[in-house]
Amino acid sequence: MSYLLHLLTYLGIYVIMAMSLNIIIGYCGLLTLAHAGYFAVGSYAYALATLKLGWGFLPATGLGVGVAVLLSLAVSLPAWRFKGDSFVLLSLSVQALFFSLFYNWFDASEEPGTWTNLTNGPFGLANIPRPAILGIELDTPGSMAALSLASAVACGILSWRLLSSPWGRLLKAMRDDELAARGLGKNTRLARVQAFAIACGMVAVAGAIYASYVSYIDPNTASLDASILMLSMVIVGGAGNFRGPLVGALILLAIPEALRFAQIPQAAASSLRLMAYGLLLILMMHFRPQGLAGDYRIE
Amino acid sequence: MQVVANGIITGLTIVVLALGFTAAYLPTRVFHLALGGIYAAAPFCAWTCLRLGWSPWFALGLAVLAGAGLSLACEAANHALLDRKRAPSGAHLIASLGAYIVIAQATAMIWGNEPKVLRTGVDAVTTIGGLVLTRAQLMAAAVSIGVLAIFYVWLRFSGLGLRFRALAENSVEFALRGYNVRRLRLLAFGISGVLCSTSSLLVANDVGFDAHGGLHATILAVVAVIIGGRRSFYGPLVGGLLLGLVRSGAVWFFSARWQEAVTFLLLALFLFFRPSGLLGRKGRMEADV
Amino acid sequence: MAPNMIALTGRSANSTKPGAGYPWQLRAAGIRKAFGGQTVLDGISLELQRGEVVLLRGANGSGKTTLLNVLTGNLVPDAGEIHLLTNGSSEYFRFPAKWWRTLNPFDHFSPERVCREGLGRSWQDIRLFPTLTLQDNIAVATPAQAMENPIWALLRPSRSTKREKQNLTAARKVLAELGLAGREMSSGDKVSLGQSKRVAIARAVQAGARVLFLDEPLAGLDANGVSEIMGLLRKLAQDEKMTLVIVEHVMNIRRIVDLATTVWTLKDGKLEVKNVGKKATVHRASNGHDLQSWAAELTGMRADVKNQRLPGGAILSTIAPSQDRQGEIVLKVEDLVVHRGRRLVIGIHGEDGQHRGLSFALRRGDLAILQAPNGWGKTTLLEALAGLIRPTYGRIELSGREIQGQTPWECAQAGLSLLQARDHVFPSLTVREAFRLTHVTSIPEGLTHLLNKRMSSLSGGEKQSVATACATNSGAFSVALLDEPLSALDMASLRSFGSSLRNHLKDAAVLIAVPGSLGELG
Repeated sequence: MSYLLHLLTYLGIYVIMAMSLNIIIGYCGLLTLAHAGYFAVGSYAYALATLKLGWGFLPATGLGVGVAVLLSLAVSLPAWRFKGDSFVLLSLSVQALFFSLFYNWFDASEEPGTWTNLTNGPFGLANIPRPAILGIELDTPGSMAALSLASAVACGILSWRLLSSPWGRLLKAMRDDELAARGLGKNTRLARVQAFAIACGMVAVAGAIYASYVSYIDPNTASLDASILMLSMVIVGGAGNFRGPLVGALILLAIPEALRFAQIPQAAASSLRLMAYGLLLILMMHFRPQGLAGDYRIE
Repeated sequence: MQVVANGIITGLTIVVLALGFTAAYLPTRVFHLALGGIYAAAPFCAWTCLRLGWSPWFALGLAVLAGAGLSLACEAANHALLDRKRAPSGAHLIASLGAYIVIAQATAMIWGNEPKVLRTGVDAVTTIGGLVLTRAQLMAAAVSIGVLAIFYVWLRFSGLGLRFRALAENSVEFALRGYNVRRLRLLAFGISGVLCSTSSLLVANDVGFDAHGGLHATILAVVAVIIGGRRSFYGPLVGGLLLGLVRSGAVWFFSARWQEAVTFLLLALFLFFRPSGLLGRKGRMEADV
Repeated sequence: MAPNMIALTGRSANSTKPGAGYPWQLRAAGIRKAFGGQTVLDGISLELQRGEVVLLRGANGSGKTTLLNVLTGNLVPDAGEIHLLTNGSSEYFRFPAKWWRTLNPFDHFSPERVCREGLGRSWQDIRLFPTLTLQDNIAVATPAQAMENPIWALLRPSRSTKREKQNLTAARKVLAELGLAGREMSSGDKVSLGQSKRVAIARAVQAGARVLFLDEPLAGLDANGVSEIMGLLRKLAQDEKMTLVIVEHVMNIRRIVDLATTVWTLKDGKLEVKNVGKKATVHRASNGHDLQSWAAELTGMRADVKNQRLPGGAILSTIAPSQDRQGEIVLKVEDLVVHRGRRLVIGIHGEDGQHRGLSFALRRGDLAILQAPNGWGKTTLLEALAGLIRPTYGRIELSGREIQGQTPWECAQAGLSLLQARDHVFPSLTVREAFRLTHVTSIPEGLTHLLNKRMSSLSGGEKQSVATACATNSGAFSVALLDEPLSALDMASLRSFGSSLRNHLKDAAVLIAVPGSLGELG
């Protein structure tokens, strides 16, 4: 039972990740590798706010979202000019800078969470408290799973509303042909900044839930591998519509569990899991470039 | 001086890898990230051969050949098929990323996750005019310069090199003049694999290797390509040396921890202010409209 | 008239007449634009009156599209000034911009800014949003939609939904007036060329355009499509009193000229303005006689011309040597149908829903000239023949051997040589290397002094000569396809081209594709 609840908690986190990345890949037509950075921003902001300031779940998550929205300008402003390969590289450098910051904002002589040792570097932040909403401690696996799924549903409603609104239509038009959209008087740059802000804020929520669930984070939360995992969800499930990312999150959650049931030794299992992701990426590009349930083909 | 010397030697190995990337990128426009997997796998091949007691030169040669073979397999089983379906460049990039993951994880499964070294014992040290250099560093410099010289001379003066440049410039026109593009694409991926595994072996001989460093090295090489200018075969030369110097300078002036930050800051600066790189030319702007 | 009339749902709804009281809506002075040292626009000054219909014409490459791009904010000119009074408010841009003006990112000369001032445009390649439905293609253009802000979309869902419903109803009405009722939900890339062009124009009107720039609105259309577009344009100009600037190719000019009040002619970077009332100069399409004398002059041959009309307004003129020296068939095309994406480019829709393909044949010694209007698909045809794109069906025989579906290099090795209209050089190779690469043994006299130069440093005409030599002076070929080989050539190179052409015609067939008519070449 607790195993199932564990899976459900992760499912909620994965779904939020995939849905938020879908806004960037499927509706802005840009491949970003910096998304794990924003996930980690949410995690770190939550951890520090609860550990150092003693904030509850909602304000701490809100802080993470706010910081992530602000920092989303680091990828959305360059996207005024960069498309395709150049944007991938730019997002990669943003990701590397995030990682570098989390890894290096460290001073062994100080307590973690102070200005000179904000992130505790490679050792990460431990003992992050379980979330408390309106004074109710969510310390059982069941309540954690409920929180995670409820957040996923909330994010789902949010993105459904937004993407089926005229704003979503504007994003699609911009993705199809930005110059034509601008010729119709549309401020595509503003729309893209908004889209990135929403996507990055959303993934920060996932980061906060993750931090509160595992109660320990380190710079690897922001690693390139984490970005690639999120990318795989959207590529495999499909981008450009609502159901694609859900399918992707489910599949990428199911693969490691299937391997676990296949009784493969622990060391090989992690490699096999990643190999399966890699293989899926290749197969998708060959046989279903729009993903299993998506609408949009990567340019 | 020591900083500059170290920087140049690091830079040379980056140049070889970056040239490997460019050798595939310019003729085929494939963003060959799978080089990261080849970079990780090549030293393990050499390591196994050495463990079997084979001669070092044979082991190294076999590792280079294995790298070329893997790269050819990427083209034959992946990019050539995508190209026939006229897949967009993003699809090539993602498929290549997938290939990287598969190769790197296979390497990790076969040989394990632990770091390894190719040579045993402490490296001999040579002092030249106040510079302290290890034998591995000297070897890296010598082999890099040799490989680069051979490549550039081949590219500039041989008939095949001419065809290679022509394919890189304008593949459609090249095909219309009756040249088999598919065959030459294979050559491009082969060269790419050879250069990549050479660079990988030189670095492995100097500082050791593991199964997971490949993507990082490849991304550094791509940064060098962007800095130098991605439209030219000489871009990696300039960009790689500059990047080597900057990275070694970063270690000297700040600390090794900030190397990555400095590298990617440099990339971001170039993307903003000189997106076509040091050797890039400004193209006709109307293409954008 | 046809039922394709359109009602303005944009800004005409408010009764104030924008720009009333001023004689002009747009004024530009001293506009200059150069690309890589090559001046395209050289000090252009112009004025647009309200309700004026301007025909903008000029040879290929004279900068018509560049001028259009500058006036619609897609290109920033190097120098000059632009003053807009279209919507009643005055907007003034001076180039190069003052440094303090470049600081404010919302004050740039950009397409969205210019559009909000009431200038709209259509594109030569249409550019509907392919993944949106037709209805959404129109609806997305409505200006100032509050719900395009995500915060409004979230916080005021009921109000947004209501406004959105009105917007969609308006879009459906526009489509119905275009004769597209029932097609609202089909996607932008599934309707015919003429329909998508009309949707694109309606989209620009929906975005609030009072001045509309149209880039080759008639290109590639059959007679039916042309009359539908012309009906729409006439409606916009006469009933809605919109200002139109129409870029059109020579072939179609006579259809537009009775609508036009002014003719702008672009030549050597300068603009000549003429009022149609005083003197209408309209080029007629060339006739067989012109072609014959041109070919005779070019090749020194005297021969008969056979004209074959191809569907879609193109003419294939074959100049064969005299009867006794006629060669065997080297290129035979049967029932060729080619699609680009979903769109049928070569071939026509038959009555029975089947496609009818294109057929023709060339004999050794034939000089064939394909005159086709822009947008007809001549480049697509040549690319299909040379193996660059795969025909949907049909049969291509080269000297008796089937070559359809083969790779470009196999076609080339089989004896087919295609010279593309553009992108046909290797920029960083020297001319000597290019000749070595393509096995050119006899280097044309006029090019020997260029051998050590890089191709990127050559002038347009020199590039064209080198590329022609690469395509035709190398070894044996039985068919040469030359796409617009004469643009950018000066008299001397034209003469040397003619003499080499005469040479090739001894043992091969040559097909030259030219845009529109030959009248503009001289």
